[in-house]
Amino acid sequence: MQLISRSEERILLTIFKLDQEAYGVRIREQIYRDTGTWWSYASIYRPLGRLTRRQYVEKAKGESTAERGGKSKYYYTVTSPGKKALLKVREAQRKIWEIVPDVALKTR
Amino acid sequence: MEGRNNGPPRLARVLLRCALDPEEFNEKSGDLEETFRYLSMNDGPWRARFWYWIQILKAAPMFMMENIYWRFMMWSNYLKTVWRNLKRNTTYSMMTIFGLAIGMCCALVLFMYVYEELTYDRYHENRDRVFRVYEVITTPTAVRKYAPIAWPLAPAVLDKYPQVEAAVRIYAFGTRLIKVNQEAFYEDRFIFAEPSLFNILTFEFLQGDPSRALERPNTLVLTKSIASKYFGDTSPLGSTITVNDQEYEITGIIEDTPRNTHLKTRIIASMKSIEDNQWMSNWHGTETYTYLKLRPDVDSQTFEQDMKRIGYDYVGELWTEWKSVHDFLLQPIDTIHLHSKLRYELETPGNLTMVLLVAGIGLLVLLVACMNYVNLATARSIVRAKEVGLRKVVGANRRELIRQFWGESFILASFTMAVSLGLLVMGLPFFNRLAGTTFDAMALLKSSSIFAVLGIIAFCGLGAGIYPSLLLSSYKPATILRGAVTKGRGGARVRKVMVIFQFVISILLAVSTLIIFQQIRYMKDQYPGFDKDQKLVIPVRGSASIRENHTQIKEEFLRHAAITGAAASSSVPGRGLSNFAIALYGEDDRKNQGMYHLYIDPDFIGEYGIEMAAGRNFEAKMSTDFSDWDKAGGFLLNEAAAKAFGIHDPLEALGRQLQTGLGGRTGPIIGVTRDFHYRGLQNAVEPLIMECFPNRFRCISLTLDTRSLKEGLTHVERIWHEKFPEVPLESFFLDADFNRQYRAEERLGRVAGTFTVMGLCVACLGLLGLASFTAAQRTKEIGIRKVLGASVPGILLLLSRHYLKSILVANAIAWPLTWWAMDLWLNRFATQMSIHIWPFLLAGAGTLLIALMTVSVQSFRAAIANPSDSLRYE
Repeated sequence: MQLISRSEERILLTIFKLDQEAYGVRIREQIYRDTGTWWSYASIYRPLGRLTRRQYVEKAKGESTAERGGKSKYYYTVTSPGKKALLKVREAQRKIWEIVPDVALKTR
Repeated sequence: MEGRNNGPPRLARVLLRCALDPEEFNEKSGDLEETFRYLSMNDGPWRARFWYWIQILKAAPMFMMENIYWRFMMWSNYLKTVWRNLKRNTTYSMMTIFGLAIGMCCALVLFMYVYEELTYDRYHENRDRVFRVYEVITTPTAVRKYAPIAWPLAPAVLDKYPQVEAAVRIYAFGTRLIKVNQEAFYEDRFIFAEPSLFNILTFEFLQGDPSRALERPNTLVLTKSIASKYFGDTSPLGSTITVNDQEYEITGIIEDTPRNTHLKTRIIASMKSIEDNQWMSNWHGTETYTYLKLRPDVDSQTFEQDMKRIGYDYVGELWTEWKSVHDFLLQPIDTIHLHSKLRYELETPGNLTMVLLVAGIGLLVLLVACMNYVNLATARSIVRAKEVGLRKVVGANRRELIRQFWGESFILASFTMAVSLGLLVMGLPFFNRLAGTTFDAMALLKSSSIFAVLGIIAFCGLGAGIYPSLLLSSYKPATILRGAVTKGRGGARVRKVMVIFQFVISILLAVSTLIIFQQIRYMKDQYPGFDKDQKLVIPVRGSASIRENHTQIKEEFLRHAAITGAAASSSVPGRGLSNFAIALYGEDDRKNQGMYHLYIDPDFIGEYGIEMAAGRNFEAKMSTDFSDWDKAGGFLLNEAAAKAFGIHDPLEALGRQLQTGLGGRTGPIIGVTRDFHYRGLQNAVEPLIMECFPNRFRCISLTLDTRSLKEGLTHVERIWHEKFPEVPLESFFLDADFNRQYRAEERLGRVAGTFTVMGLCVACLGLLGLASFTAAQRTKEIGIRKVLGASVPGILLLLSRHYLKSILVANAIAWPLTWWAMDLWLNRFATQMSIHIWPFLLAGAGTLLIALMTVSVQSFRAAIANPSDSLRYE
């Protein structure tokens, strides 16, 4: 099975972190808090769409609010295949990082 | 709701709605709107709007990718469906594809023809300002329009009008005898031209300098094919060839002139070679083709009005005295082929009606082929119905289904086009031989053909796809999947109408073909008023001449027993004749009628079996009967000429004086002949003047005894080589040569015949397909009928009956239509046969028989099937 991409991993982790609160706006906000950049919605929806199709996340319709123009929120939760995928990608990352000693990355 | 200014940009939202399905839109636009509102509060509405737009634009590539991806998935599914359907029923697919391919082939061939006709002379670089000057001579009795005009016009115009950038005169002298390295050839399409030719018209130079190629006397330019004929692969530049005993140096090689020009030439010699100041200052002749190139900003119509009467500056008094009006007018070079109707054209002009007619036939055949597709597709709708039902259940909406079936017909049309291009490449040489055309499949590689190819695909795909797609997509899933769609009911009436239409066209073409050939036969079989059998004609040209010694040469030929007669003349029936003015002496109002002139010796009338209406023939013994440049010995007229002079009783004509335009000589009318067809029987016999003028003799006609033809021919050859060792012998048989005049009609007939066969083929393929499907649909019904005691012929009749009815109806529609059209066509002929009923009966019975055979192949199989097989599964 293919490893998930970096952006998919980030989004998956953000959803994980937000627990029950993960919908579009919140995910984007959280990513900003963690990385310091505002991602465009397109670059969130695209990995999100892929994750949904692979059933790493589940989508559930939530309440609608006036500030959304009467449109519903859609909450995402990580499924167990999603969790497995996260484990797998962490394992891979670990293996890659393992051989790089911290001193080697020091620039000055 | 809040005011529209506070919300996110509307257009952006609409775009988003288009790109996403409703649920996606609900989520995404909700997220966007929430953030938008937040931004709007903090940074102001404009920043927020800007942000919103950026978000949408950033998302655009993604939406597109997704869409294309799913479209592709869907299309590959459709493609798979098409392929499976084609494979599942190979016979059906072959019939559809083959039928459509034939139709497309016809359409492509006709496209090539029509395209060529319509693009005549459009390749010249400055065609919008290049004009040919033609001359209109109006006399009190006649208006004559000439393509060649007076020599001095070009220099006069160049001198007087600064609007003219360049002018060129071309002198076409037909055939020349050319000698290269001891070999002699007759070459036609030989012209003399001034050096400015290459500046005004476009010729592609391969070797030599276009601006200087024709500057010196006795130089000439060859086309590539002629050059390689004479010199093979060696470069001929600078070598010399002999033209009618005069040496010429080759100064250039040009690409062969294209097929779509009226000025087709093989050899262009410099005008300086034949320059003659006295000859070329004559304002009264019509001898040279003149082309002008105007300066870019000149209005051609104003200029034409200006230039029209230029001749009056020089010879106005004479023309006024003669009561004739000479106008010089312009015609754009690209209109010459289809619109010019002048005397002495360089090439017989095309005919716009004919072009449209041919285009019409091509479209009809294509239409027939498309109908085939429609018929077979709808007939098979029952098979596809389940697929439609399932697709609908799974969630396809009608629009998607229409798209699918339409796409299917497009795919099929494209595939068929590939097949038909292959067929065309293989079949074109055959078609060329059949129809007497010279199409080249390579012409299809031109860019314009791509449009034709795409156009035909679009026409077939759109046209043939529309009805099946609407029909198929209209099925209700519940009904279909319950199995309640009745057998092949879909579009039964439409199918019937189309079958009738297909056969109307086939019958129309078939009857027309028969009538065209009948008419040609009829014209050939008519007695033309002279004896055209067993005549061998020898044109005397190049350095050979019989002007002085025609009697002696005739005697030489007559020495052999196989040659029973000989005559000398300027031309023979079926070949071109000179046209000169002629006037009944002393009668002003009849002045200068243009009439055809034939110069004959005293034996001609007897040899050709031409009957006299009054008076006598020329007498060999009477030297006064012979004309020379100083006097006219006497004239023979045909009855038509007598009538044209206003003389209705031939006897009255005898003794009247005629003044001929050739040398202004005067002589008496000594006899009147019955009218004979010296030109094809398409036209009425026109006035003809005959004079015994040995100086103009250029043909020897020999009557051969067919029993000893071979010896006769050997003798002729021997005598010729004795007399004219320098000149190759050419000869032809008069009857075959005379019949060449019907070539245009024969070609039309053969083209119509070819398309008849193709149209009928396509229609029958369709019928075969339909019949096999009805038979297949009714297998069980037939089984039951047989169990209950129906006979094989009874079932055959049952299955074929309504097709026969359709064909009878088609006949009923086609007959009057054809009658009307053919009557119109026949009206152009002076000698026309009356339309008989039998071509109609033949075509009607033929189509009926063919259709019956087609249908019964399938019906018979169904009828003899064992009912226990067809009913086994119930």
